[in-house]
Amino acid sequence: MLLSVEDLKIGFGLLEPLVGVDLGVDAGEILGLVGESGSGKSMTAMSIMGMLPLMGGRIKQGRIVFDGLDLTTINEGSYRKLRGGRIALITQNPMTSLDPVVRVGRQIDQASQLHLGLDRKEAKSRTIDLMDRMRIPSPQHAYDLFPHQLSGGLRQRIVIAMALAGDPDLLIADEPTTALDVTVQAQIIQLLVELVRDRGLGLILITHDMGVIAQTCDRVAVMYCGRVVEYGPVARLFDDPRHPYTRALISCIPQLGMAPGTLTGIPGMVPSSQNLPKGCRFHPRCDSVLDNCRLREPPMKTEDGRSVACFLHEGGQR
Amino acid sequence: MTPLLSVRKLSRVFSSNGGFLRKKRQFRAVSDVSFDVRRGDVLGVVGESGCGKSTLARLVLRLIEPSAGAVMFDGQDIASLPAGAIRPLRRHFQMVFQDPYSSIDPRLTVRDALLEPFQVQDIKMTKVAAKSKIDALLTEVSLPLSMADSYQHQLSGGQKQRVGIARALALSPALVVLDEPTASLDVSIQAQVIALLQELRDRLDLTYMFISHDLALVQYFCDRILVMYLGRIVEILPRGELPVHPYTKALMDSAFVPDPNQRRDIPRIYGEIPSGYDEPTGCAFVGRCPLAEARCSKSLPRLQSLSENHAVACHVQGPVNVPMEFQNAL
Amino acid sequence: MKGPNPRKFLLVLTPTPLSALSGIALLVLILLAVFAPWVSPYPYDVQNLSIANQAPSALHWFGTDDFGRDVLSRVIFGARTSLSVSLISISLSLFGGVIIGAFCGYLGGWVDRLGMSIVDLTWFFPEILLALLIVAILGPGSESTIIAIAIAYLAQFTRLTRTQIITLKRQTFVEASLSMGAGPLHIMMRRLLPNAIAPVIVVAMLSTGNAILLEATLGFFGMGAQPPIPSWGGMMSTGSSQLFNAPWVIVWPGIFVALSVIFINLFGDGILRALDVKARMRTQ
Repeated sequence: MLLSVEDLKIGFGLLEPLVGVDLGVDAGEILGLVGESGSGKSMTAMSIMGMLPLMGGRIKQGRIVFDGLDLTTINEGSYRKLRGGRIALITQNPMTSLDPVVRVGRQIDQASQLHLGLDRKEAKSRTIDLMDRMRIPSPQHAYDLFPHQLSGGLRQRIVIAMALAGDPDLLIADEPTTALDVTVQAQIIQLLVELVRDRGLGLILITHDMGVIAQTCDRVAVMYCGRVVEYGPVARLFDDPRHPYTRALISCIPQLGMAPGTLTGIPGMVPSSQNLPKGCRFHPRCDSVLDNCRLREPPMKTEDGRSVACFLHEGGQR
Repeated sequence: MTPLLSVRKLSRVFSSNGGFLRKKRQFRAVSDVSFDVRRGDVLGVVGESGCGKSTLARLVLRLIEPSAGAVMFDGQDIASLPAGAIRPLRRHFQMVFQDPYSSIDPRLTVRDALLEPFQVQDIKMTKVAAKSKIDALLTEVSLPLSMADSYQHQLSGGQKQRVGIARALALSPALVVLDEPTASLDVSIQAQVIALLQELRDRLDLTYMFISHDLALVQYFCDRILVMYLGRIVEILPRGELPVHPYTKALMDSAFVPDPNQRRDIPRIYGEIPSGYDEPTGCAFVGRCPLAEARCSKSLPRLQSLSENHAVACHVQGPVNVPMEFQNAL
Repeated sequence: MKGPNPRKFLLVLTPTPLSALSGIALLVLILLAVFAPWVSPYPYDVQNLSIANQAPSALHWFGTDDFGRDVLSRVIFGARTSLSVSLISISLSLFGGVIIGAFCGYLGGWVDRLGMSIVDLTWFFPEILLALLIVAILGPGSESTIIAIAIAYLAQFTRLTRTQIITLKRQTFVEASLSMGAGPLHIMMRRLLPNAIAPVIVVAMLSTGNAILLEATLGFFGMGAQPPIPSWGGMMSTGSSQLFNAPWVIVWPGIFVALSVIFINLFGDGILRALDVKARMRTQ
């Protein structure tokens, strides 16, 4: 495994926004993290990027192992070398991750100068090369533009090029296409998939869209209220969703040719982390509650390559 | 029966302020748009950002003044009425806004927000009548009655949007324009809201104009779909019919089907929507179109009917032009 | 519509102990000014040259000035002039500024350009210079001081209100009101002004402190309330000639000017913070 997160628990004061998170991603593989807002997807990304201390949180329990190195044990200085280097993050809004007064080409240069120690000329030719691979038209010309002169899709390509400039092994993309138009969104996702397949990167793709997950990922972790509730290979998870939440999320996606009245949504809403229900966190919204669900939190059960935290499947039976 | 809403040749041009060293420029937000909405129908308007769908919604409600064209609502042209004459009519056509966070005055409780339409329309109610009206509206959108005293910052996004819907329904309108009402909500909440809207339409005999960027959602929810690109309608298609215009096809191909067994390595269209300032002489989609021919960049394709409810504006995929002399033979 | 909950309102007004104490001190000062004839030990204008320039004593707590008048009584009566002049002028300025700013911001276009150009003229001068200029034209006295101060602060209230209105005008909830059929009056009075007014009021409160200073300065130059009516600035002006043999004549009004400005600022600060907290609660 390129990266594995084992039994991660984090705390902000008394709050514990993530509990018992287990997941892993290999080189050349895409792991999807999916769930509604407030499910802890971005928090997981922040934990892997080592950015919790900056936000006032800390890791209470568990390990994050990247290429044999336990990231929970290293100091901020070593983390800074990894961040933007071997582990890179792509955020939701390309406008806020670009410096508005620096030419976009220079911004990409800076990443490769910092992490690969290239000189300015080498960095520039590498940047042009990267921009070309991101299918940015006429990269020589685009190199000298400012972020506001580019469209949303091109800006996000620049952000991806910047993430790649440090030659990362692991890429974390946090809702990389939410701010983009439908047709552009498809282009960007396609680009990310190609990167993983061609360069053997590991990619953690965070999204709320089960459609994107189904079309791109190898493995999926479904998160709810700071817990992974189901984890497994994408095809099996979609063919036979075990957790009622997974099933509900899939049925929320409008599909072409769907009969009217079949889209119902999940009743209620995600509870806040200050106000979690007793027992299984999903039980107030669940359509198949057992008595046990109200009393205890279901443990994660792993069975032939897939795991689920639900009492319906406690013995591995339906 | 006459359609509830018929829009004819509606256009809106915005001009940017010229300044020092800057030319005054014209931006065609909506160009020459015509369509009908039948009573009880849901008309979907779909397109990417900058296609003019939000401007169209506001033109139809006369929240923006049109540059040209007519908007016939129940037989009356609201595009040409004086502004003062529109105000009492507004109770018949209401709007639900995209951003539930800013569409309710932060100083108001839910009760006050729901009473505002009555105040504005100068409808006097006794305290008891007002209370029962509020209760009825909250029940209509499945919110607990106790929520009447909450402020908007105490509600979740989905709840705010329900308040927005209740407020739009307060005056019992005939037409409700929904401007991306679910775009800022989670998918699970989006599905709830759509289900609610569907139920309300059936129960209250509403007519909707539903603006969205999500073709799959529009296909699911709407009876007829109007596809816009750069201010113009490129296709009008009924639910369930396959798209003909290359842009509608591209939109459809860009949807991510939630089924890993149906993976597609889609040759998705390249490029992005061009700016509306420099309108091309031909088809606006020509730069991104996989089927573009020479004539596409020379002349603007007109919207032509394929069948009763289906029309498309495309030179290549449009109806075959039958020369005049053979038309009688067919 | 319901009014605000009174207990909540008090809570908003007193977010920190310091600003609560300042509020109480201000209240005491205002009560002193209002009930000056009853609380002051002597009349403010009775001269007794035989006791001129006496140091503070049990009989005259703050001492006496060079006409033998009781400084304490004059400071209390002076509070009347200073506080009322600054409060009235700021209220006038606020009123005018909000009206002009709201109109300019709402209507935009040439009305806005014209209105703002005129108001901005007052920003070309430092406020003290502008106030002196206006008093010089109108002649000295409390009324002209009020007008001068009101005009000196007009631009800031106009600007602030206008910016608020322009930002609010673009909010979706205003469009929502329009879509229900609301007219300009409803939009302005129900949607725009109530949402715009809070920061303007806070600035007005903070400006009252500056207005007291400005009033004192004008008084010091002999442009304010005319003798024998006491004002803090005027007292300091007469006291300045006796600075070395009777410092109490200038020190006491000076202390009161400083204290009232400090109290107003602390109180205003607290309210600003309270509003800020409320705003943050809303956005969460």
